[in-house]
Amino acid sequence: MIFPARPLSLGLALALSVSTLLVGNASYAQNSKKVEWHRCLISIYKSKNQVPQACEEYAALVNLDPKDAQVRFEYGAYLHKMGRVKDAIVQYRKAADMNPSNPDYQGAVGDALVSLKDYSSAVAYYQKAGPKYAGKLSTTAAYVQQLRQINQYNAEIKKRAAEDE
Amino acid sequence: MVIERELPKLKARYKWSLALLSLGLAFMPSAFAQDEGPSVTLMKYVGKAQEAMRAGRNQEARDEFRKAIGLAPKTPEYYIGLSDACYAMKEYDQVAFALQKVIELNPAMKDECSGEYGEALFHLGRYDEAVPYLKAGLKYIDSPAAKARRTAIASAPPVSIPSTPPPSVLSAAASTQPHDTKPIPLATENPASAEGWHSIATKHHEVDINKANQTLAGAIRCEGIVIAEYQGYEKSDNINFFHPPKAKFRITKILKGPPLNKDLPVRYEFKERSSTSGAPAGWKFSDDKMPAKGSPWIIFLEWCTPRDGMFDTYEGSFGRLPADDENLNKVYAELEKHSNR
Repeated sequence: MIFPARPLSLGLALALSVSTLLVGNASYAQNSKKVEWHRCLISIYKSKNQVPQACEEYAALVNLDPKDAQVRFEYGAYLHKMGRVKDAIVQYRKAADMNPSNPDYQGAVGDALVSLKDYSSAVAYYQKAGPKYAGKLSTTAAYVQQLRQINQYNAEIKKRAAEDE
Repeated sequence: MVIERELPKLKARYKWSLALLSLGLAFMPSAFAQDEGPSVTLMKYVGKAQEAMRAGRNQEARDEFRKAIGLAPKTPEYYIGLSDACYAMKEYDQVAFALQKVIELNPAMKDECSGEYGEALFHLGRYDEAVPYLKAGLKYIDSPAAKARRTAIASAPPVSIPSTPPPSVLSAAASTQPHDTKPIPLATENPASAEGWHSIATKHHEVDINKANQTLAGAIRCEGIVIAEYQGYEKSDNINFFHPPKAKFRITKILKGPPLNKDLPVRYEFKERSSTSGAPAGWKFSDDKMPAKGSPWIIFLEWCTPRDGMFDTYEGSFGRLPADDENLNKVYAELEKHSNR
């Protein structure tokens, strides 16, 4: 028993009126699906330690919404963990620039800079991070101070040695 | 926080999937071609499922889609509905099952379902299987085919599937109903007769489908069965065949069901509920239509909660039996049969 196709004319006017809305939602749904699937792939690659593939998926995720600070932060954290600190700093900095009020983003840049032994720059980011990173700020700031003193002392010694000669 | 993030995603997903289902229903033949046809029951299930999904009652939607699948197991659209309902409840094993069926039934939809299927496999920890599907899903979603599909969905009637089928379907269904009401011929015991072998194999007996429930086995499934003494009824000027009186019974024994107050007000129906015939000609209420005071009755209570202050008996007057030895024996025998021992 085969029935004729239900005519689409019924409610067509309504359909047209809501189609714009639906398409808008559809594109949102489509994007959220993509995000979800990329995240699934990232988790799989991470669990299998397939770093290049995971980075590829992160990059795709970033391309989907370049203004998503959280994705950049996560991507940076993964790069940092995998030892690609300079690449991590690029992502962290972008996240921090997009959302300067987030202490984690600022603090992450600070941590990455500390890994690169750029302590004075790290202090600036820890300062922006606020109370959450106060401990790291004081330690790093004290260390920067010590380094400065050591440098001054070394410079002094060099100067005296030159004068003695 | 997570819920806040997920909510708009789910809402968008719902609208999307409902639109997809609407499209599937709009082109009904694809949904029913392989099955027997769009029964009213099937349409009811699908309508209910859609309503439930729209209202966010995912469990109900899942159950209704399952019922629809039970009636039309070769319709991919219902599996898509099932997968969406289950996805919202994070029942990924069901999502995977449903999408696998979709792909099996309609391999052309493989690309379309790949992403979701891969996602479900991922949540089930089947990583190796999930990767190719997720990649295929990502590849498909930006393809021209997917865009064309989205455009088609956006221009399809988006909402309101009627809970009853459209008149065109009903008229088509009516036209296929057998008009020939000739009864099954009596067995002729002669294989060479015009009725042939069938006449021997089938003994003629007419079954009134309306009275299919009127069996003791059906009555025994009532929520409550009691033995009660008739004590009288509440007099009123407005008692007639379809407006029965409130009869007062006093429970002497509860055979089945929860404990009830001894005083049992019963809607004393004069008709069997499934009967389609009206009041008998010349029927007029009088005291002799009621039982003798003090007479014992077996009363089958469909539900042990009163409606408008009166308990309904199973199938109207069918749910009252005189509590004589013969009836009691039958009832006890049925109760024994259903005692799960």
